Amino acid sequence: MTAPAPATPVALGTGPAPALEIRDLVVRYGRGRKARQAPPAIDGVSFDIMPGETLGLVGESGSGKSTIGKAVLGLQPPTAGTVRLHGQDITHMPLKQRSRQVADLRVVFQDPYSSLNPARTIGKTLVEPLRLMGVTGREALAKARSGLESVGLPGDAVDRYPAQFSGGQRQRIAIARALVCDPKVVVLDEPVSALDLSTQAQVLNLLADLRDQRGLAFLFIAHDLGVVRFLSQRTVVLYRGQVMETGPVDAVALAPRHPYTVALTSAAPVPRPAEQAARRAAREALGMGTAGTAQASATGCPFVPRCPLSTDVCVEQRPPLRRLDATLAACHHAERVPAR
Amino acid sequence: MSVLPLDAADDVATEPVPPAQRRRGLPYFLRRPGGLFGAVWLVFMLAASLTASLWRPYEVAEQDLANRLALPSGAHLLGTDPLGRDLLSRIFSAGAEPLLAAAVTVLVAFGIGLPLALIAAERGRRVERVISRVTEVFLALPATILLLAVIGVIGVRTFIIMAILGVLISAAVYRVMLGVAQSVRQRLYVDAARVNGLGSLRVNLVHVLPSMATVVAVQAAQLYGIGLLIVAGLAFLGFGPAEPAPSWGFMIQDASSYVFNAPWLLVPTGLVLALTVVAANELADAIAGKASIARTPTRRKRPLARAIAAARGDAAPADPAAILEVRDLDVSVDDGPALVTGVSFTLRPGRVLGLVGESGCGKTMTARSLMGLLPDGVSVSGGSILWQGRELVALPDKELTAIRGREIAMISQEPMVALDPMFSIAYQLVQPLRRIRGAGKAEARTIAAELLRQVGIVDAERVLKSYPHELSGGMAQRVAIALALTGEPKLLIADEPTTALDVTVQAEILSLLRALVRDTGLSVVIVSHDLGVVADICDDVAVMYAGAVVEDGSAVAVLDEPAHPYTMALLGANPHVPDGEPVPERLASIPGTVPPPGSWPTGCRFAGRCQFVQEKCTVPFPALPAHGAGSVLCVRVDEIARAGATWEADDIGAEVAPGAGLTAEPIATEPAATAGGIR
Repeated sequence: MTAPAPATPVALGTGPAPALEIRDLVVRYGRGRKARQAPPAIDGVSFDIMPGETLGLVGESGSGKSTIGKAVLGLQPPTAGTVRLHGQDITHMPLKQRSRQVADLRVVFQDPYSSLNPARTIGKTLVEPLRLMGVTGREALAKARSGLESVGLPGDAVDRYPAQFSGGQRQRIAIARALVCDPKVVVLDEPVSALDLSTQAQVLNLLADLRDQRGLAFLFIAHDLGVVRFLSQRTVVLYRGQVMETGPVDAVALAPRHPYTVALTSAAPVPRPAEQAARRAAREALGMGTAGTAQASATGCPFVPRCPLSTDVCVEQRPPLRRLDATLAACHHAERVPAR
Repeated sequence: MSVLPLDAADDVATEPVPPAQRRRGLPYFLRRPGGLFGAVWLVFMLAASLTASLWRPYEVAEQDLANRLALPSGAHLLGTDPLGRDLLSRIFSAGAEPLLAAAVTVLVAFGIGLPLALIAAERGRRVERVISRVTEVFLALPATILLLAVIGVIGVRTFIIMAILGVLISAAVYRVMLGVAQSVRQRLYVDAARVNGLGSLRVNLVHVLPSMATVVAVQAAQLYGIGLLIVAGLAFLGFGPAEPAPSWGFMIQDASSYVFNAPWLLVPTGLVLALTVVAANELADAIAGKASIARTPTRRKRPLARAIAAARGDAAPADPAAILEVRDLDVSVDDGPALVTGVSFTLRPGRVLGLVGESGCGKTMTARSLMGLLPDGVSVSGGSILWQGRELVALPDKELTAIRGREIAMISQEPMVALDPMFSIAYQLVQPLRRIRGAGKAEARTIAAELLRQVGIVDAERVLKSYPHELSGGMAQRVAIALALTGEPKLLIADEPTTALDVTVQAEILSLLRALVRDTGLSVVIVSHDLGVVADICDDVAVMYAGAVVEDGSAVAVLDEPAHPYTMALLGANPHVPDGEPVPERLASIPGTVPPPGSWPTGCRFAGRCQFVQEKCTVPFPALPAHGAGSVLCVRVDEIARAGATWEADDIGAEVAPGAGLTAEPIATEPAATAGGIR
């Protein structure tokens, strides 16, 4: 199966077929004239994830990063575009059919408190997807136990209820539920943002271990570029449903070429006072506009109202993604972005 | 490998009662007197009524003309009616019909309303709209007239009539259940089950319905009571079983005509009907009351510590330049465990102090105690808070209120909490300005606009006219800061002021706070879990763990040269690295979780999770001076510093070893085998 030529050349990887392929994804919420006039939640996003690779999807609230996760999982039907898993088009495949044909795609949600049914034991929660795949009861329970052990919890946790676990432990259980069917691609929707720092580190280390042991591909959705940098090889920076910049994660974090990425990277504080003071001075010198003040024009770049580099062309024309040094950035004036 | 009971590692902040503590046996609603009465009475009535033909002392139509309108006696336990018929026999013989017919109404109403609600919640807006429009038509129908019309056509057939009533009421049931079903469906575990490929029926049966069970039970029990009254009401109007067959409604109607010469006649039937309806409602209350069992908040008493501090009176601060001096502060649950112990710090004018640590370490409790804003049942149990030479711990509430908002103000993580959604921003700023500063209306509005400009809002006039919901999160936090500034405070307590905001907005708010400190000489106590925020804005920092300060000093000293293992670990767990440094292969992590208040170990509270733990860590020891004027609470700090040891990240694969995620290993009696660096 061959993919049609992508409208935007986002795929940096060449060689083996991607595990997950997103092409020109558009998602609109609601129906009717009003909804059609509003800018879509996701506006023409494309990217690939190779087997064993982690792609970090980073953006602030309202950027549409979780919507992409939902569209991939089939929880939010896309308005246009395609989602392919190992080359198979699953864009509009019903959830029930997915579980039989492609047990390869699973999810870990952000909130470890509402993502586990409080009325069911951990064992029941873990066995559920296995039984659907036709695994016998006894075998499923054995798999559930070994699944819990593989995320660092004792196997006898199967008899306990979610309320008996702390946030970090629940997130381990949610990871075990995602991995118990041996998937190849896992959507991680802000899996550590609800956790304390030390617990977050435990879960990030665990995810890195599991990925390396099992060759998993992750779509890692996060708002924190530091966390994304730890776990991902490549990253996609989203703003208002559009890709601003994409490329190897270190290049995006250290030598960003899009003004929004510059704003994002310079705003994340580092725990070293001297270094942070220098970053702060650099950030304040950028002259970045205040968030959420004005509406962007529908035809142009969504970042115009906050961008210190914007000119008339930015209002009129939406900039395409184009190659710059190590990354692809959607900016007319990327060459004028100061190097860091 | 030994493992702590999972309950002990529970996160106390969010999970007050782990279900492991639930008692087995009786369902919870039967443990309340109302619930027990309701259930027992209904079961008794049902059993007695259905078996009435087997045990009743007289036949229902059997007349004892010598004993008409008799009071209770040995022959007639509840007395007799105008025709000398035995009331006991008649009441219980009449009971089966209303008890069963009301159940028919409930079954029909829920049998239709509940599945419709589940379907509408699942299928989305279009289906929901169609179903809702149809149910609205049902709700608009005049039920009483319709029922009387039906009786006119088919005659008095109670069960069919009550079933039709059930159909009409199903619309109301649907409305209530739809709301519940929609909110349950938003929970992530429903999404997770759908991603796992669970079919629609099983998602509803396994994940949605059980979470709705309480509401269903409450509504059903209430509807049952209403159904009973309607059956009796119809019989009262003459639409019940024909004489001589007994019915509660007709018996009451009969009694009402003798109410002056034989008032007793009304009592047995009326009482049985009333008790049965009350029983249904009590049962509903008991089922619904699960959440309200929580202990009633105790009135805040004047704690002992206040009396002690009051006797001590105001004192001169040890540091003459200090605006705030906290000494050996203890905060505890009344008659319960301590939440904060021995916290001391000093704040000078125009300085920013950070309280940093993980959740459950007492940072917020410490910050709130400064304003006397502790939750009910929690109070300062020792130590002193000297604010400009005044002892705040001893201060009566009235005087504290005068300080709050004027001298000390507060902003919180969620700016919307500070803003009332009902009023415009202008109103909310003008009110305190007039009250605190005594400004006139026009003057207050001018000051309000100035305050908004001071917090970096360019179009102040437009924001003044808007309402809280029209503001973005960052804008709302700016307004909340402006609100805090209305009393021209000298100290601002900021509890996680940027945690809910995006990083670019966070940077803007931190810049704003820094400008306020620089321009107005404001002092700030900022509570944060983010060491990057601390590095950005704080002059001094106190690292808290399990209710105690484990390390404090200048932010530069503590963050660049951490001395306490916990501070080292927190820094190692932070994935944000300065630009020049590579991202680590693995992050440092701390095994286990923060021990909850009440189960802190003696000696070092971090010992159970520390890489450098030794036997001497288990006995209490004093804090040692460090970082100039600061301190560190670690008995091995010198050894660790001499060896140049750092908190080591686990080896690859360590996280997947069983137990790695939850053990707080029992304190080793010999040096921990895995301790990094030194022995």
